[in-house]
Amino acid sequence: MQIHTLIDKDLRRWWSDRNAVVVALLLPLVLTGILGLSFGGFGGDAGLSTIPLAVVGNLPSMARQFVDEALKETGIFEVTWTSRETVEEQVRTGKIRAALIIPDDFAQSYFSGEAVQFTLWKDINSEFKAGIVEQILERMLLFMRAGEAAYFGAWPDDWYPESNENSGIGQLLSADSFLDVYRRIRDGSDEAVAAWDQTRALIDHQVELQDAFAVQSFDLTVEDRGGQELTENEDARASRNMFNYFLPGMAVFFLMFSAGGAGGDIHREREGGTLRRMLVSPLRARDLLFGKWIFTTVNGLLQLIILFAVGKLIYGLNLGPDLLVLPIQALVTSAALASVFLVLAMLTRTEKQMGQISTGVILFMAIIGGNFVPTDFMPGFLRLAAKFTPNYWANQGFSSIVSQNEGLGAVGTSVMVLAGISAAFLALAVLLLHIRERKGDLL
Amino acid sequence: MITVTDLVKSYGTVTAVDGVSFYMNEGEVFGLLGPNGAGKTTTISVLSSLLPIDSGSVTVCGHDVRREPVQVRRRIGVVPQELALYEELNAEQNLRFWGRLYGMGGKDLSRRVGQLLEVSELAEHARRPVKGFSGGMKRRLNIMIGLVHQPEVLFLDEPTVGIDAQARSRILELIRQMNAEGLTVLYTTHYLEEAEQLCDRIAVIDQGRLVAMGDKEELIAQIGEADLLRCHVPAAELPALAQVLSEHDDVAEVGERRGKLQIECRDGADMLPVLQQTLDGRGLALDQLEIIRPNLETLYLKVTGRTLRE
Repeated sequence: MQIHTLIDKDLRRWWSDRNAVVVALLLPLVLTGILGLSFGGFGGDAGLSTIPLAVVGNLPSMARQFVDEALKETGIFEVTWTSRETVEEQVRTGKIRAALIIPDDFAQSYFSGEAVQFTLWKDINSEFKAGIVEQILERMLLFMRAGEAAYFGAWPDDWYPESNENSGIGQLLSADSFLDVYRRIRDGSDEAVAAWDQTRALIDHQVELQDAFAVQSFDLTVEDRGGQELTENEDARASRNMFNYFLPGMAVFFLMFSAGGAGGDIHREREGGTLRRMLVSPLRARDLLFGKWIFTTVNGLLQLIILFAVGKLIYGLNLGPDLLVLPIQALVTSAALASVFLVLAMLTRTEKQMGQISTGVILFMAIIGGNFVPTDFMPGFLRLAAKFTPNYWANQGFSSIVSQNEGLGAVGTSVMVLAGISAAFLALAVLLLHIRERKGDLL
Repeated sequence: MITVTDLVKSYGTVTAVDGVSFYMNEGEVFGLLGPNGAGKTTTISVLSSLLPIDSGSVTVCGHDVRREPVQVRRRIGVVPQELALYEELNAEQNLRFWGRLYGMGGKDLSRRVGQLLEVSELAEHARRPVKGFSGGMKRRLNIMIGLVHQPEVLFLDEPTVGIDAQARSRILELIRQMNAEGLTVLYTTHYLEEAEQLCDRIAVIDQGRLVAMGDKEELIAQIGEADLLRCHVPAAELPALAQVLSEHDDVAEVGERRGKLQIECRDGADMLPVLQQTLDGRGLALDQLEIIRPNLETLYLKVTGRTLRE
């Protein structure tokens, strides 16, 4: 078997193709730079990774649930409810980025109509956007007022004349003419007295409603905790660097193009006559397929390693707590994509057809697999669909290592799934190759 | 060295090769002559064990292509019609790659690569990427790749397509040189002059069938050493003219071919005054006259009813 000769040949060809190298290496780095800087660069947190936020204090259960859900719904915060004793230490050590302190006299201030004094602690290096928390607190207080309004809003049916003509106002207004109504009021008729009583009740009710909807004033004091003594841990730093979020996504996206190109190369070789020539050598068709798969895998691995290494130099990319985990994740990612695009090559007939179909497949997978928009922001059915794409698992694994600074334990699932995809699709590609070979359909 | 017996190969409902039989002797250049789509490339693909056979049998260097494809592949070299080269690599890298695929390596491979670069006059350009080569240089390298593993038989599938006369001449010379060193060659072409110049024996293939086979003399003998005279006459006059001319002693056959009067005769020059006189007698002028001496083209015309360029 001369598979190493095939791999050597393809590697030489690929690395001598400037266009391929630019698409695979330069574009992801440039796009990562543009996106990373746009979303906050090295220290931004207006972006998409979750920010650990602790909440301290007692709230009525409905209000607590509201605040919890509202903070989580932003997709920005990872919320934990904790005690005042532990929270200061957590902010200082960087385990949490900020803490919202609800005052002990919250209920007293609220019901007396006084301004509630909230406090937000954040680590000194964070550019935490307090405005988001402020908006959520405002909405929480409105929510509580709305609850009161609902309570006071339970008025009797007969308060409105159009809903009940037997009510006081209804009977009064049912007179034949305006002059007749005037005479009844002037004469102090029973209908006029009843109508007056009811009108007063209505006015009182409106006053109660207005009170219920009165905007509760509050203050949010933002305090830096930790000062110069603050020490950040790797997790906190990793989640702050926006390049950590964008580079893996871009790397996987462009790796798909490389794998698609390698699949298309089978057609290029067929159309150029070199495949025919290889097939009349002592090599078996299966060897050619394995050769192409190993080349695509090795080339993809090199591509990812170079991207992450350069990303580390330029963007301060986090490479995870264990330097072995990233190459493992890169290897299974590359192998899985190589297999998937070999299957596509076996299902298509020309380089042009392969190019068109693989571009469509790459864009589709990139969109639903989370290369452009995090899958957490997608509706449920898309989140489910994402799990059927190899790039989703690649993104998950790289995100755990680079953004969350997690080790092999955290990427175990994605590594296993990608290895499974790789084996299953390679087997399928071999099967399709044999079918085409038997039909004499390889040339 | 190669025996093909009743070979049939179809693609769906289209029969590309239909009952073809021929043999090739060791050390000869055997030409497969026919127009595009005649079945030449399919025949080479079957002989190379690339395509399964529907029926018939093929042995190459004593090995059955169906049962022993790997042994067949080790003994043959194939030069496809396309320029099957890696244009990103240089000439030396291309030759080395194909040599390694056949298990060559070390000094043997280096020696062989150097030898082929010299023979093909590409040694000076060995380190240049192939994409910068001229068409003729690429064609020469394309042939050298087929020879790198020192095959016993070389299949050349229209190796001179798309190059100028000078480059073609160099390639034919190269093939003669290789053949003189003992290489057996199967050469497909649709150029009659190439087949005439290069091949010891020629098989004419048309629409998947072998319609004639032999060396040049044998093939010409099949058309009886006759000249062909052709001229344009009004269609209405054709039967009467054919009747009159067929009574002449030197005329073997008279008929109509693609709207022209065609006379097969012993000597075209001698026949010309007779034809002129006959036409004058009927008030007709001699128009679009052709005198065709016996050659492969007349053979091809006779056996297929068409010229190769039609």
